[in-house]
Amino acid sequence: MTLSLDRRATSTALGYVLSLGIAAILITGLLVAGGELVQNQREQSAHTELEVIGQTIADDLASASRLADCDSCELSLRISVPDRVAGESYLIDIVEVEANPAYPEYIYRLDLETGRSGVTDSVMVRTRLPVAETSLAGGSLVVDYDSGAGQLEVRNV
Amino acid sequence: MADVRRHDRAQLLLVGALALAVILLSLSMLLNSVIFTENLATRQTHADAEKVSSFESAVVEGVGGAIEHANRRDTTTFADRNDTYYDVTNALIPTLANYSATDGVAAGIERDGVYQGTRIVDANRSSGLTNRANESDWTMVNDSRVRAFRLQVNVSSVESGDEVHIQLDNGTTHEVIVEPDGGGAHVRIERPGDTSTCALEAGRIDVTAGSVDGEYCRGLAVLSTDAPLDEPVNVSVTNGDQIQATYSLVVDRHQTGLRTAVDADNYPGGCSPPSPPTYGTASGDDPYTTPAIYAATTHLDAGTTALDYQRTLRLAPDEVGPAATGPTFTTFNVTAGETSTIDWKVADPDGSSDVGTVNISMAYASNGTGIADQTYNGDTDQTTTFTGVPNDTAVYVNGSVSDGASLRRVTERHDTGGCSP
Repeated sequence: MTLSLDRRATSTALGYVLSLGIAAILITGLLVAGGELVQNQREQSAHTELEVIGQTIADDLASASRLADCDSCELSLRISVPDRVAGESYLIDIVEVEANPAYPEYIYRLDLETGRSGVTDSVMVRTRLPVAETSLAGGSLVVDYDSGAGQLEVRNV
Repeated sequence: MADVRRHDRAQLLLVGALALAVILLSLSMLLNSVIFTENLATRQTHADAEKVSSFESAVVEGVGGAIEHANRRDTTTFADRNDTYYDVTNALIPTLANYSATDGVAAGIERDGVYQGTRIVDANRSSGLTNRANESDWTMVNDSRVRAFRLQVNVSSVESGDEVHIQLDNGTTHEVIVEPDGGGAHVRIERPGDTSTCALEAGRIDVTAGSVDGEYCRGLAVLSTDAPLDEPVNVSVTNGDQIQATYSLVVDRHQTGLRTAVDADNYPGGCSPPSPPTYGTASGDDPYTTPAIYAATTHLDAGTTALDYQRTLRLAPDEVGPAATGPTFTTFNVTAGETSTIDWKVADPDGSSDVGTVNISMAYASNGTGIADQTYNGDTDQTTTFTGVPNDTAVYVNGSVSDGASLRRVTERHDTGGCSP
């Protein structure tokens, strides 16, 4: 019997290597899957939050336009929405889609986009008054009625 | 054998567990923010705007009711109506403010002013749509915005009579016709290119609200929304003695100008004022006119935690179309003679001094040739004097006030030698 053929006491080392290997694979798998889960959840929740925030702003804009629809009107409406979604800041763009001054009816699109991950959402809003097209940082907003220009203006607080 | 004194064993498990813990933690934080979003989503977003707009409606209803209440009083003076309006709103405003405070709205209401018009009423149930002289073809109103135009018709008198026409004319004639309908009665509305009818059972016709017997009547409603009731109109009646009816309406012209203008239309050849005039001046002499509140303005101020809101409300119950803005004569006193003086005043309903152009002229009644003419720009209170007017001659004294959009005319006929009947 030679030493090179001596296979005794290998099961301990083999078992050790195998268990380490399996644990490594398991943990790596868990980390990858978990990371992806977090990423997906983050995007999903960012999307949901943007939608909810967009609709909140749209609703407040529409009700402000109903209230301020007169020459002598003065209005200032504060909209409180979170300044971060899923841990990220976000931007709001107000874009005009359609304007029928005779009706009167104006349609705007609110484009919301998170800064880092680039999650986007759009909400349509129908108002009785024109709204100044603008870009805003997410967070608490104020809607003012500019009676001189006859339009609503949204700004950051 | 491994060295048991070394402490860097099981690092894989440690680091892996730590990373997993971080992942789980961030997942829980994400879920937390999702829950917050759901909470945000179910909040009522425009609660403040809703509270403020319902408060605004309450003010419109309340102050509008105060105007109607003041106008219904049996009085011949505007001062009485004005005082009543202020008394009623003195009680109303604290009530509204207290009520809104319980709703979380800090509100203030300030009365700005009232705009005088004229209320025309015929409360005599046994007479028809006739003037003081019981004539059945006559002019009711001219160059005026009309609001709260209501008629109460005795339906059985319609069934036995002939059709009665009420013409509303803003350049184009629109007719509201009350006529028998095979044992019943209905209201027929004729507009250019359109005729429609509404059954009349209880006899209540509300022209400016567009309803018959309290129910929507398309033909009448279109008169309000399209034309002609959204601008100054002439209202005249044909065959007015064929039914028994009472009616009331409020117009935006001052009593002086309205009565003179209507008399000139109804009695073109007679001296001013004719006897009897188109309208009496007190209840009992049906139909009669009294000064009334046409509109009132109030300033509204409301604040909540999220909303600051102010506006000026103009209240003219049952007025249709845009607010009346045409200036009108509030005084037009003519003293005719070789030196004739016309003492006149005009006022703009929105209280501004921008009354436009006033023209005062004098012409021979026989052939319409002008004698004298004077135009004023922006003056509201003047006495015009015309000298060298021929004696013993019948003349027309005309006044017109125009702000570009509306034109109100008054015409009086006088005899410089003293008017013989």
